[in-house]
Amino acid sequence: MSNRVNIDGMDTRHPALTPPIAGTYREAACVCLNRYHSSPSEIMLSDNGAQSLAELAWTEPDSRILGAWSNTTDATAFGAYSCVIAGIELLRGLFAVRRAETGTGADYYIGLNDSALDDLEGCMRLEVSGLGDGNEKDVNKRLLEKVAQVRRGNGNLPAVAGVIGFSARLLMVRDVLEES
Amino acid sequence: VSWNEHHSASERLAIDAELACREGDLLRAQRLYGQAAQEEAAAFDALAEDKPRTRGITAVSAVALSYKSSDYASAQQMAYRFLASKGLPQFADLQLRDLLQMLWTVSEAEKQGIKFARGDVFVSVQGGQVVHGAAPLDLIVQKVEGIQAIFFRTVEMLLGRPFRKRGGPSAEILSMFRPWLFQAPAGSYQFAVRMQEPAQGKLWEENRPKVEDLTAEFFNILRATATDPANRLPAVVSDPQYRGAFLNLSRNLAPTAGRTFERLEVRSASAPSQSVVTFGTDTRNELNSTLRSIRPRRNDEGKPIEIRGVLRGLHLDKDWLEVTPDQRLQGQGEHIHIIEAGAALDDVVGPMVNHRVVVTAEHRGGKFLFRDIEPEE
Repeated sequence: MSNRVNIDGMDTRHPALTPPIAGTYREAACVCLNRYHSSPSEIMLSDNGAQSLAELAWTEPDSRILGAWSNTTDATAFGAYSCVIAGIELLRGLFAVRRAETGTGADYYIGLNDSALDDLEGCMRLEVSGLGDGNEKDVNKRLLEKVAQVRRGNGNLPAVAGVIGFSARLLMVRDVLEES
Repeated sequence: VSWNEHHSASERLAIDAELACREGDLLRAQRLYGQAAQEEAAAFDALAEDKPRTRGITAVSAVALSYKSSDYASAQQMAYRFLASKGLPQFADLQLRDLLQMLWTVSEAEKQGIKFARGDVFVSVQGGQVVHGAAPLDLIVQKVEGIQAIFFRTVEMLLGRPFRKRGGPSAEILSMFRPWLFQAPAGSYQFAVRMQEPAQGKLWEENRPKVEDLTAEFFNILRATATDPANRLPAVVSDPQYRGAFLNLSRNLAPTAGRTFERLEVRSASAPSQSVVTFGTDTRNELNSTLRSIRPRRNDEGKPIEIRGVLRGLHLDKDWLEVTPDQRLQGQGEHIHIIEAGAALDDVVGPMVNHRVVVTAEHRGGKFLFRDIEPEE
């Protein structure tokens, strides 16, 4: 399969991800994916409703890693960063270029790989979320909630919301349009 | 030095601060957040005015980092300076004003010697009669009471206390955790709940659950009740009595018909990538179905009726409550006296007094036997 959501070596492609951060996110993603599936696995991608299939491969976590990520809330949140950022890379050719500090946590600004790093004028905001359990309906519901949340919080910044359902093997992204 | 260099330095410091925070080293985290804020402010100064979006993002980021460092005076000065600068985009202007509002509140509280633990819980009420930044007072009072009741029940469960059937939480519990209400950045109607840090050196200090644990458990419970109460809640709350209390209290948060409000959302400020917990009319239906399935039944139980009206009074210790129905029932007086209500909980039914309710009851032998009660819009 030519389409691949690549969660390996993300620090070499995404300027906003340092090796420790990319490694942390990848480790969490492996734990979450391994909880439900065997590697490699097929994952459904949905970009503004347009669907496609891709392969997602990961390393089976050992007992130490599983123990370190026994907090499922943390694992889901960090694993979602890895998968959604890798998904945006595959779907849109966009990369995490900066962290976003909002007072309530951090998500990312995304832009073209060759975009100059001396400003954020051409970037978009990426809001990420993840679900462990849950089916397609749950993932879609979460995406709509995230879109509503971004719309409320971001004023006139263009943004994209992305949600991964680990059990559902579904990664959905959607542009957040201005409320009319 | 360019914006890129300052901003990159700020990002590295913010990541280190976050890691320190996760390791529980809050003092180091605060110091690193402070340094990150200074770098971000320097990044703002390095930007030309023809980059409005970058200026706006950087300004908000600098003040947010300063807020996280708990240096509220510096954060306020920074916000004023950025607001006074020319060409700031509208989104940044709004977000800086929201941050200022939060800063004023925490600074004032600190002057009074009140300290708050990290981890706001944001609650927003949307749709129906709720408009941006304003909502009917009684609606908000009810929801605030509901959130507070779930917090206290969570504390009691974490402490392994016997299930409380009557009255409010003990003085000891109240002194451990005191929830405060804050105005939150506007968006429909929002408020934030934050825990006051308890006084030190109490005898029960070592048994006290950490605020972080409390907030996490609070969210686990709400998420389970809002998404799959029948299957997920038993994994989070093993005690059936606590489970019943959480189901009832959560149901009170959800709208009935969506006329006054359409949904209530709860989210954690410290875990923004986690889902928002949403209570809508469909949530209420699911909670009703779960509550019906767990209610003990008698073999000879008859068909229930619904009585809609105003809850005028109750004495749960004496097993009764009284409702003034919208339409007088045949052969009944102005008020309906309903018995066998002793299983209802004070913190579930108490806030409904003098408000509209729907009581499910069985009419048997001229008496009304209580089955269930829920608020009605």
